[in-house]
Amino acid sequence: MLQIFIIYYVPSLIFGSTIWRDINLYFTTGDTLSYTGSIIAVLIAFVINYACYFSEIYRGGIESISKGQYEAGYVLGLTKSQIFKKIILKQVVKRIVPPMSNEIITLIKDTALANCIMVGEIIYKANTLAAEEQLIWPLFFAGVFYLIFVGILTIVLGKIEKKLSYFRS
Amino acid sequence: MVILEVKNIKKSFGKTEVLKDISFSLEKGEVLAIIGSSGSGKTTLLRCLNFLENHDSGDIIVNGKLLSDGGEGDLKEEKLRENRLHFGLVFQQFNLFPQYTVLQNITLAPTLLKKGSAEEIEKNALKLIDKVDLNEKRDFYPHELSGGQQQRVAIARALALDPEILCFDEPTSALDPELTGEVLKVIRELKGSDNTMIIVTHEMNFAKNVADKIIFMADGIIEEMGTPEEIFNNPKSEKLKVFIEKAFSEK
Ligand SMILES: Nc1ncnc2c1ncn2[C@@H]1O[C@H](COP(=O)(O)OP(=O)(O)O)[C@@H](O)[C@H]1O
Ligand SMILES: [Mg+2]
Repeated sequence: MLQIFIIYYVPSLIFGSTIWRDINLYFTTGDTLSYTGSIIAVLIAFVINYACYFSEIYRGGIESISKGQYEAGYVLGLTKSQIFKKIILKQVVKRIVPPMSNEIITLIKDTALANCIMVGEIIYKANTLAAEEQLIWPLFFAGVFYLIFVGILTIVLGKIEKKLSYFRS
Repeated sequence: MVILEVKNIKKSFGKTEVLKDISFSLEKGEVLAIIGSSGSGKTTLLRCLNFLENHDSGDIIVNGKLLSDGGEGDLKEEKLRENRLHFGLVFQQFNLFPQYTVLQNITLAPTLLKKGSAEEIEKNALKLIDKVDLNEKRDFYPHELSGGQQQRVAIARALALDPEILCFDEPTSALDPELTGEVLKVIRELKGSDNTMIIVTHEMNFAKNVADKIIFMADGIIEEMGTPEEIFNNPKSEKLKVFIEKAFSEK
């Protein structure tokens, strides 16, 4: 959320520019306000934020492979790329799948944060609908949607994890 | 026939001189045991021979061909790989590839290096698996094997590339005492089939019985070199006397 605020508000604080709102206005036709600019700001925040998290996971995974695995490859006369592709990679994948699952699920939940700058993500829309129609169902369905989405991802990632469980490292 | 000549090898890590002028030579089919207390530079010497570590100066000559005189610093990867193929190395910690079966661990390198057709490579691997007595385990993964079995796979893996000189760095130190025998037995049998070997070991009886030649290292130098007879029954250097005394009293 902090990152979203920073991306959204800091440019205007520093440069006095209103870039995101300008984009919003640029795409606005008629009297429904477009949120294209806000959406771009949110996307940038998410991409930067999660790129950092994920690269950190990859780095940790690669570094956790013992030096002995590389050296065993070297003394067998293999090239660096053969060692990485044939020996290291699979072990890294095995190690990063569990933390990645966590992170991806957090990411899905975090999309709800976008409504702090009025971007119409699921919860925001559901809320609006619920208020307008005096109904609880939209929020309930939003919940179900999260459940299904997270459920599918959990199953897929679990499959990968299981597939790699035949060895230990 | 001299297969390996090592001349005046020196190696420092930063300011600490770990190898100070090491020279020796080895005949084809000879077994050299290297003994010495820990920190004396045994592992570093093997790592230099296997080009995992860059020695600072001195010549490594295999079959009369100078592989490296240390001088040029970093060799090109291509040249390094070529040099490494003259040697094999069995690690203290086995370092098997966990995602591959016994058979795959052995065939991986020959396959990637295109050392023959798939059938030839597999046939040779099966022969090696038989040699290290693991016929029933060929489709097992490393984590399903005991330490002694893993080390025997590691030996077969090294043999699959048919290195001219096979090095062992304390091959049994990571094993439970009851498992050392099976590994030492395999190494002993290799001697019969004319492999040239360098074995760093703390197993004094093994060194005594299997080696043709023994080097005792202390503080980065070859303190004494000789036949097992000379080293164990007639040690000259004081350090060696103390070392042997201690090694045998611990048993
Ligand atoms: N990569 C390294 N960096 C710095 N010092 C090292 C390194 N490898 C080994 N040494 C030092 O070199 C000395 C010899 O180590 P080593 O060759 O492992 O001895 P040994 O195998 O006989 O026990 C030790 O004092 C060790 O601390
Ligand atoms: Mg050592």
